[in-house]
Amino acid sequence: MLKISQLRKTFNNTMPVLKGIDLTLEQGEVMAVIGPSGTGKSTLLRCINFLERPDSGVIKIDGIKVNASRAKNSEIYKLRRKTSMVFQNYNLFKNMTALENVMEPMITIQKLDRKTAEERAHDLLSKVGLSDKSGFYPRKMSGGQQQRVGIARALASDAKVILFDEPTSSLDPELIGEVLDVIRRVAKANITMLIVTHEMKFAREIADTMIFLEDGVVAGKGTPEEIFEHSGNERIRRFVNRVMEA
Amino acid sequence: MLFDINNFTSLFPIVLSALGLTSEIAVWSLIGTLILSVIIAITRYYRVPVMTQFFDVFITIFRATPLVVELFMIFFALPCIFPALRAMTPFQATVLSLIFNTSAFMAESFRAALESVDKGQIEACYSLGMTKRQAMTRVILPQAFVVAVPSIGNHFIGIIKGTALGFTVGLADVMGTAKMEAALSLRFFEAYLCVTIVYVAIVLAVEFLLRLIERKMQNLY
Repeated sequence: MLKISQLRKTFNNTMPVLKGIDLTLEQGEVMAVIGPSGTGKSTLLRCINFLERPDSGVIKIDGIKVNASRAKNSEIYKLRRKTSMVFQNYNLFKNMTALENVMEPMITIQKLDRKTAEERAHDLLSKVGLSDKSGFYPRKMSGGQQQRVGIARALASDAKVILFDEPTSSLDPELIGEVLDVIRRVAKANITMLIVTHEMKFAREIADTMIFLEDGVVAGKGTPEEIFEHSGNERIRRFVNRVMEA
Repeated sequence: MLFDINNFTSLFPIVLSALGLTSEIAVWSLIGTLILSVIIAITRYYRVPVMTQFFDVFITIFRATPLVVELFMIFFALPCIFPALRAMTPFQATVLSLIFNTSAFMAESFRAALESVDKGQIEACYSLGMTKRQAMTRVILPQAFVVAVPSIGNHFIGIIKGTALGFTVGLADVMGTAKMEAALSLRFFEAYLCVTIVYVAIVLAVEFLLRLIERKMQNLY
């Protein structure tokens, strides 16, 4: 489904952030990306949809292949349609209601007619438990509600992979649960997901596979059990112990 | 008699009959200004090469010159060199100079309004596969417009007052009519007091409308 090879990114000639990342996701696989802060986890996600342009590497997704060092705009648009993203700060369109936010990719990208888009958007909103908020503008919703709309919007696009960029990091603690519940439900629906998160218990429970990113390289890879319990890597063990204590 | 009340009251119907022309100049200038300043603002927002530099020069010139100089340049001076411009009417010249002058100021407010839309929403557009144009028309502009409404209102009031310069190129607008009446009767105080009252009334009415619109806009999103 998604295959990334030798992805590299350096910001303004400083230290390289990504030093040749390889990873593969199968259809329906949920992969969690963990690791200390500042190791390029978010950059990795943002390079996959070219919100940050990678310096080099190849991204293959659902039959299309983009070589980062010479990607054309048309290829980037195609690639972006294959992915969608859930942001740390939700990034809902503030000039649109919850319903219109979810309809937006269906109207602008998939060119569905308004009626079909509206029906599907209502379905998606009820899936994230927000049927009653469809006419609300983002300003009138809590962070948790906004993020659930963000997830519904990501599902509304015809993306093959959903990228979650720390979806609960800017939420008040009491709102994290509702968002995690929605992500759990999405994961069960056989949707391919790549999740950057600091919620270790959640990551462990939801992920099929995990990668441990450190200093711009994949320092460990495996099932949650392998990463959490049988990791031969000293640094992974120390990181896991530290975050699990907290 | 120092103040001729009959002359004064009889002036109002005459001056108000020119209100149509004054509003026409103002409305066309507003429409033109909105279009031109959005174009300039978007050009500068994306830093489109060549166009940005062109508009930078445009803005510098039109911010630095008085409206009346611009009007005379457009109506009297340029047609001497470009004969094609001789067909221009005083009305068109007045509207054009108001558009250019106001746009030079309003484009900057619009650009600030565009910049006020947070980058996260734009990234959300791109992450879904939207083009720059779609992000601009569907997400950035609608929000920027709401932010810009108070400044649009202020510039519109400036335009209304600017229409009074039309008389210098021969337009019989509110100001032009009052001036002619004053010249005929030599009752300057009555004529210019009348015109003062008319402009104050127009601007107060427009300000009232703008405040209604602003209040609506504040609760829009």
